[in-house]
Amino acid sequence: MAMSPHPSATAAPVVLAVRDLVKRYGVAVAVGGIAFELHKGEVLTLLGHSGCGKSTTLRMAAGLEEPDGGIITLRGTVVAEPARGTFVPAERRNVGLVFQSYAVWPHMTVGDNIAYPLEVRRVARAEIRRRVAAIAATVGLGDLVERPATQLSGGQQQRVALARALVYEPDVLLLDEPFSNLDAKLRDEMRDQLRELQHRLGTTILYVTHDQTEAMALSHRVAVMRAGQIEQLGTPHEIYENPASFFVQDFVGRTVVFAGEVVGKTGAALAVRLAHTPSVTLTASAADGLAVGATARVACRPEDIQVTTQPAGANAVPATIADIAYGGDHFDCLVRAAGAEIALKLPKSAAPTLGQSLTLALDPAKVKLWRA
Amino acid sequence: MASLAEVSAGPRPRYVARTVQRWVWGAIVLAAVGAITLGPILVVVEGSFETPGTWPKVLFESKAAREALGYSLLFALRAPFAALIGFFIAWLLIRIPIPGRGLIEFMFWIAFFLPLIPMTLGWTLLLDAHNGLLNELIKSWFPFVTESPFDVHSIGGIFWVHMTASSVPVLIILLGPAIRQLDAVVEEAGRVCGSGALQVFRRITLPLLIPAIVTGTLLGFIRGLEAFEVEQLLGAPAKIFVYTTHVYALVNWEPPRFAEAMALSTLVLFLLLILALIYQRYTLGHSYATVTGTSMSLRQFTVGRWRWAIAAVLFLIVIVIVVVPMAFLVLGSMMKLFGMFEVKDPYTLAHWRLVLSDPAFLPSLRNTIVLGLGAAALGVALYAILAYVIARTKVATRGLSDFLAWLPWCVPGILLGVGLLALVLANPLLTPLYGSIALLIVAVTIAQLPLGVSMMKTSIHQIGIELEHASQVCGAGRPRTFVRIVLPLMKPMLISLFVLVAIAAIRDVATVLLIAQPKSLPLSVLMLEYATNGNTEPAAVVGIVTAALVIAIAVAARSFGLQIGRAR
Repeated sequence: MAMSPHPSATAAPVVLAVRDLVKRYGVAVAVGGIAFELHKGEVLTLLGHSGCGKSTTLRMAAGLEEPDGGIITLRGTVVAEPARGTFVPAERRNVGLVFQSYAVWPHMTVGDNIAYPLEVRRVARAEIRRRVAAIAATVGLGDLVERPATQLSGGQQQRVALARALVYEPDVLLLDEPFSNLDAKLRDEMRDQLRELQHRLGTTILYVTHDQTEAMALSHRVAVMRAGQIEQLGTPHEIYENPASFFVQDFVGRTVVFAGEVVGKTGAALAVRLAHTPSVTLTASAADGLAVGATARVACRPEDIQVTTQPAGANAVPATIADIAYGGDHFDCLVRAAGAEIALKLPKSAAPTLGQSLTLALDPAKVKLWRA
Repeated sequence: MASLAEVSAGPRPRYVARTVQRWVWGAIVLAAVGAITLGPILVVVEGSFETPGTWPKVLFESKAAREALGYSLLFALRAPFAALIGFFIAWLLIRIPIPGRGLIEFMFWIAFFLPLIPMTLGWTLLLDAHNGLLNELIKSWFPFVTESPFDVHSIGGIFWVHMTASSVPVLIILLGPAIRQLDAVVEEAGRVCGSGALQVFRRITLPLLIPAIVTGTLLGFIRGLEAFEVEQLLGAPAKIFVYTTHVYALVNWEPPRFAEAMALSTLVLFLLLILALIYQRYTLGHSYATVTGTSMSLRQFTVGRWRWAIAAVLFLIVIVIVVVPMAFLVLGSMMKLFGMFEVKDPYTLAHWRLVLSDPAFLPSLRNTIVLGLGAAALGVALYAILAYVIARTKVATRGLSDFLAWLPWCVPGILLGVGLLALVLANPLLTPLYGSIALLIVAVTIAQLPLGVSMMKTSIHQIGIELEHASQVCGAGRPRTFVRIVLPLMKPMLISLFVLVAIAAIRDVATVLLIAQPKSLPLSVLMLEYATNGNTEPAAVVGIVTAALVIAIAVAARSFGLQIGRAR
């Protein structure tokens, strides 16, 4: 479901570049020296929990927040460099921003809202009318241009905010959790539309969200942020398949975790004994520089677990079914194994029963070990 | 990541460092606010030291100065009583479903807006020791009463007029929001815990509202020290002088005794500043009663038929404090001799004809209208810009600017008048302002600065900051964002403030009295001049015109849906 790779990720010119970016609030460090580049036509998502510094980073890129250190360049021009006292305010950056609250001006009509940035840029009246009508049609607001902004639904306000941010063809479109105030169905719909729009217009987007599904679906690259740092920057595929840390693995996608201890080492492969079920020893492929004797977290994706009723073989964990919910075309089962509770989907053909013993076979190539 | 190396090599647009910008703007704002608020005060303080021997004279020798201060403090002591009565009436109005509540509340707003001179004249007609109507009636009903029981030209008279015409209505209006914001949940919690209604009131409601009552008392005390026209009309004939009327007398002396007036003013200013700082400290420390949660569930008490009795009492109060003095004022303006009902054929329109044909009247009416509109327009623009700078920018020294903008809050109108007069007369650049209506507009604008800035700040804080940020990201700078986004969103508050400042300008006597010249005379000063020269009937006519102007504005504002005296 990830986006098709960015056509020329490295060949396309850099639109927005950030280096050593720092922002402090008093003694608290909101952003602790991060760096990334955004290429023309690329969608880059800053993904993380609330308070990880992603929104602050976006606001610094917009020019609404002044950084305390580092450099921000837009199309090769330095727009913020506190060390030299350089700061270009938001109104001179030519970026677009869609706020989480939409910030649609309530005293204007839809058309007035969208026309505002063009008026500010002294575009001729006829040209404004033409471009407002065009962008309104693009985002699906064609027949609402005359409507007062106060008479709009959440989804419509969202579209107004998007149209207002796109109408002047900004160098970068900044999106700050734009869909988080919409209900689930509308959110999916808007996400698909944004994808489609980005494909069509080739807009360069810096996207901020805490929703990893959104991040995966929309982005060419994702930067997972934690405590003001970028934990990992890569394509959705890289982030999901090769997480750089336990945090990334746990945050992106679903993860099954067992506690264990490293008991042996053969080349790159490690043997790990599960803490709750010492009889089981697993082989894991990836490692975090762990030595024999270290306690570790054994992590794998639920889809890499094979459920069988056969007795445990190599790299398998015994489990029992603790709860079953009928899900129509499948069963949603809660399975207990080695001190962990795992939600698994079982086919109807498996006909699970409560308390039934199962075996969870783990693919050694997919099991990862992290320092506990 | 190859291009990261090139990042720092990119071109850098030249912008003046932000800190420099902020200090430049900060200096400009500070200088502007300081000039209009600190300027007149410093002139007064400096003037008090110009003539040697002034301070010892005022502090130790002048019996009149001592007495004036004594009376000022004595009259200001009405504040706690006014606060208690005001609190009680406001509480009844808000917490009991009284029939006709909207009308009663609106009448208190009218009482709050009405100029004090016509009210004073109305009460004079009723309570004058020589021919006050009420005195005459009592003497004719009770033959054993030979002396007039009431004398409006007395300490008691001044108390009475102030309580009914200013203190109580002001405090009802000030305490209303605090009572409204008290979440009924805290009371219900008390009820659930097993307390009776009375116990809840005593143990929960009252302690929560005491900060508001104390605030009201302090405010009333400060305003009491600044009051002027009632004391001038009622006190001066009985040789009762307070600080403000004493200063007025000193300035009107031949030759004027400016130095003494300024020394006394400095002394009072010092006192007021301390009180005002205590007030500010207190309101900051006890804001819990006024800033509670967002969802207010105001539970009203059901008192059955008692609500009719309560409504009757409140209507009676409104009639006594508003309708009666105004009605008798109208009556008095149409009598041959003010208060003389027993003369043959006592009614006449002669005073109306006289005033309307007085060459001073129409220009004064024009001056008052220009003053009201001018001060409201200039004020609203100035307050909005200043509040925006203070609330939403990072301009340096804006904290100090905020403080200076608040300063006139504790400067009596008469003192501001003295200061502006001295400033204009001493500075050749400003002398052209002398005798112009512009000077009056400036004076009222300064006097209303604290109210205006605080109202505008409240209004700006209610606008989501993202609405402004969205405008900036769209390419609009601060000034354009202010004009296109902030001002339109503040419109209801701007109109309210415009109305309030216009009414304040029309009512004002003390601030403009000393700087008004024959050509710039407003109705309020004309009225005072008539009244002090013994032309009570013409004064009543002007008073009615002024009151009608104020009531018309208040009614018009209300019908436009403004939150003036509207029960929510």
